[in-house]
Amino acid sequence: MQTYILRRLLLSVPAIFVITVIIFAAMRILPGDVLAVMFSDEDGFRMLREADRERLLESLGLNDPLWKQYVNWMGDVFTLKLGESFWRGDTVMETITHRGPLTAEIAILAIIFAWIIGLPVGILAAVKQNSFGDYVARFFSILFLAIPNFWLGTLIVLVLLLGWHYKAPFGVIHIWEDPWANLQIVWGPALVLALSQAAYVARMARSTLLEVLRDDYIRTARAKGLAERWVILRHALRNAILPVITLSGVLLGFLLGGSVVVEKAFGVPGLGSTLVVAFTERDYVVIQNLVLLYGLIFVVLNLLVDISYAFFDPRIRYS
Amino acid sequence: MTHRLLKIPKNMVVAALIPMLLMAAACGTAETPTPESVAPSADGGQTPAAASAGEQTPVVRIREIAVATEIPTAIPTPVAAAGDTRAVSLLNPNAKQGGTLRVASIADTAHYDMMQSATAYTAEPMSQQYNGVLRYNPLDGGNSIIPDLAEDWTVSEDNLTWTFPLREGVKFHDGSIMTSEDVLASWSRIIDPPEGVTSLRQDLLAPIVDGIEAPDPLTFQVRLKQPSGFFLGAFAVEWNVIHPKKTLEENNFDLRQLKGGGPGTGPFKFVDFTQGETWETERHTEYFVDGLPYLDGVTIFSVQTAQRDALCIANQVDFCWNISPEAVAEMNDIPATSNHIWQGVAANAMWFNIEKGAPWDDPRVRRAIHLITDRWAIMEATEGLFGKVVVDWSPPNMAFSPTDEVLLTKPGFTIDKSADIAEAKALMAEAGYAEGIKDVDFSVRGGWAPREDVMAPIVQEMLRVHLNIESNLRAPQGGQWQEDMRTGIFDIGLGSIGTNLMDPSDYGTNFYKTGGAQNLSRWSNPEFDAIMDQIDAELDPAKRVALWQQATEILDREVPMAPHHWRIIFNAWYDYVGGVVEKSGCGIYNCNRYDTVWLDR
Repeated sequence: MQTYILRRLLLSVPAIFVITVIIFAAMRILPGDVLAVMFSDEDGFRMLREADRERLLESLGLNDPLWKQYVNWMGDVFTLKLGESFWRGDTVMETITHRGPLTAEIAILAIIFAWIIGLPVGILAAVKQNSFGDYVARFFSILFLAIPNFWLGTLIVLVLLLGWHYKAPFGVIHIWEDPWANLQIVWGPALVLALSQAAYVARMARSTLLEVLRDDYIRTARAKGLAERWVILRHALRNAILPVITLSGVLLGFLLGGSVVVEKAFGVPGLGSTLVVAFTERDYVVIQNLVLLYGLIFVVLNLLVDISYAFFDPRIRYS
Repeated sequence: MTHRLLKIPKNMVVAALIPMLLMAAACGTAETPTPESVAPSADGGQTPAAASAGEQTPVVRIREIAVATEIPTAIPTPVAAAGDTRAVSLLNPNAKQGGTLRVASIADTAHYDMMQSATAYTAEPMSQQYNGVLRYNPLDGGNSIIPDLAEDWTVSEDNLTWTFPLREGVKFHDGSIMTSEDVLASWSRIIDPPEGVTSLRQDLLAPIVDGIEAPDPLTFQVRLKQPSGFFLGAFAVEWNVIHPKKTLEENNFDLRQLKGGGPGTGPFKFVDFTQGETWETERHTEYFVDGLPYLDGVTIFSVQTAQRDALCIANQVDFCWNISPEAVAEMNDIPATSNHIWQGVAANAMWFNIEKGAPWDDPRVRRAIHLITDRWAIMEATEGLFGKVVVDWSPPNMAFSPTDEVLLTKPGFTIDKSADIAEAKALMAEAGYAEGIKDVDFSVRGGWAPREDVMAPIVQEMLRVHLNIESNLRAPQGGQWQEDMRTGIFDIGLGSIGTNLMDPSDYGTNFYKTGGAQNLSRWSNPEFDAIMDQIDAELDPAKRVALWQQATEILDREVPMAPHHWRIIFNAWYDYVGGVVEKSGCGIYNCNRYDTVWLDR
């Protein structure tokens, strides 16, 4: 197992390197100008004199050759400083430690919600295949897969705001500072993200459960007189759930990506909102490091999912 | 005059309408404001002047506010009315002490050096921490100038030497005493910044300032090269703040990375700032004006438009800056809230790439486009999205801008466009473009919540229908539009530009003069430049207005840019906030100090 983990970790190094090169190159190719944004606001902008412009580019390190900019960035990555924002000079590490917990909380809560909603629906749809309940479950699964989550998020925000003049507290409030305020901030984005993920979970649980329910050992369990509830929960579900776990691991990665727009819709200042603002501000340092972070999380999640196979299915052994 | 009215939208935008209908069906609490519900009441509207007195204001409807705002008040350039404004008291006997004001605004400054910034993202949070030598009077909307760190001021008979005796014992937030050495160091940086430091208002004052000095610890003097009609107004702008000389020296005169900007003498001192969240300040207990500020502190929630609307409606803040007209309408349904309009500082306009040559270097083509642009139709079509009024070459409601009556008779600004269109077609034919122009690169500033990118398709269609100008519309974001304008990658550009000072010596120079920082068309006209030089030097306000009228005749003829609208800013607040003032003479970059605001909860 340890050899397997080590080999997987080593294999992920080229993947991470490619991610860094792509995002670094994309930032330099992407049209836009950080100085133009810095000297603009909603009401206008001012053209800088060429000398001032050159001086500011120099101070931001943007006049350095590209290879040097890349090497500098890698230096910041390996020392875990992650560099300083072009704007205000905040370190990216500070931003991640301040805002990351909120985004992580939203993603984890979304997965929990997705399981709470999706798994019972999937089981019900499989057990009562082709019943009215199955059709309703499938209808809502497809509906929530189709609805863009930023639209649903905006709708929830507007209904609460215009109906009850309610808005979740603003700002980063960690769960250990004020649990109630924190919950008000994260439940909305988590629910919106969970609804589409629940649809995936329900559909996957339904199809794998249907497959398992036709196996011989299920017939045997029923034949020896086990209650149907125990047949489903202790025998069928245990085997059917493995693909759902795999899917959830991948979905957790997608949730981090999905949170970018949903956080914006709810006005939650998590890492997703930070990334959106950084794109608007053309803050390369922040964008590069956050995308790298998201890439790393994807790699680690995939590894954890693979390792979890062995835990949930004793037949699987890694060598 | 009804044309300048900002009408309540007949319907909310689609996104807002859906949940509102759902809610109306579900609980009957959310009603879409109708035109009838916001009609002016018989007893008239609350005037900004009354609001500035800090009285408990009744609920004010947006239409009434618009009526109040459209009164052509002909605001003069702020001048020192000798003797009568220098001893003005900012104290209000009705004010109450205490509490922290929560403001929904913007504070995501790019850095912490006001001198090196040109955006409200910096001015809004940081102005409260500093003082200038002079300031715009917050009690009259910034229409006069009063002493700030100065006790008074005098000018020599030749109008060349301005002397500012300074207040004694003024303390910076770090406890040190302010002297003329601090004023000298701060102003040296503005007029002649050291290598590596950018002074964004240097262009305005450096050409007329001959020298500055501090003859004694409590006196500051400015010597001008020539008499100036705009010096005092430019000198008093809130950007020109005083820092301790020690702080400037310790940071090599570059405060960009000094979090919070370092100590000032202002009514509030910096506590903390988190990007995208809050800018917090607390009362400067040793502020030099006894009794001010009233508040214990100010917390600015740094959020964009939609979030400002939400925070405002949910009463998570007390005062909201620059909210949408829809949010104002929603606030009207909340008891004990008020709103008013601040004078904006930005023009929505269209530029032509004159350096690219034909056809954009031909004034006949530019004027033709100017003539067929139906500003009133654009305003009608985009009502509810953001506040704006139709203008020509100056901000509205200034002594330099035409009255509504005059504006409506000017070619290009008329409501009945038939004569304008006929003249435009004739000009195009005369210039050799009777068949129109193909493949025009039409670049519109994108990325900001719906502004020019909403107007652009309307303008594009006007160009096509009336002049057969076929254009390819694009909306670059993330500073790319500005970069396109700077490097000349466009045929026609639609966006906005702003001014720090409501005086033609600033906006006239920046927008239209040869080499102006915001002359995006790169237009150059020696005759116009010569008139601008005269305006700068002229001291008589009436003569300055007359000179500006001469200048606008050239602008009407040459059309260096086609101005569409002037932005205006909607603010709203809960009525327990006292001392909120209108800013007709300030603009959004000025009078942001909150020292005269109080809470009565």
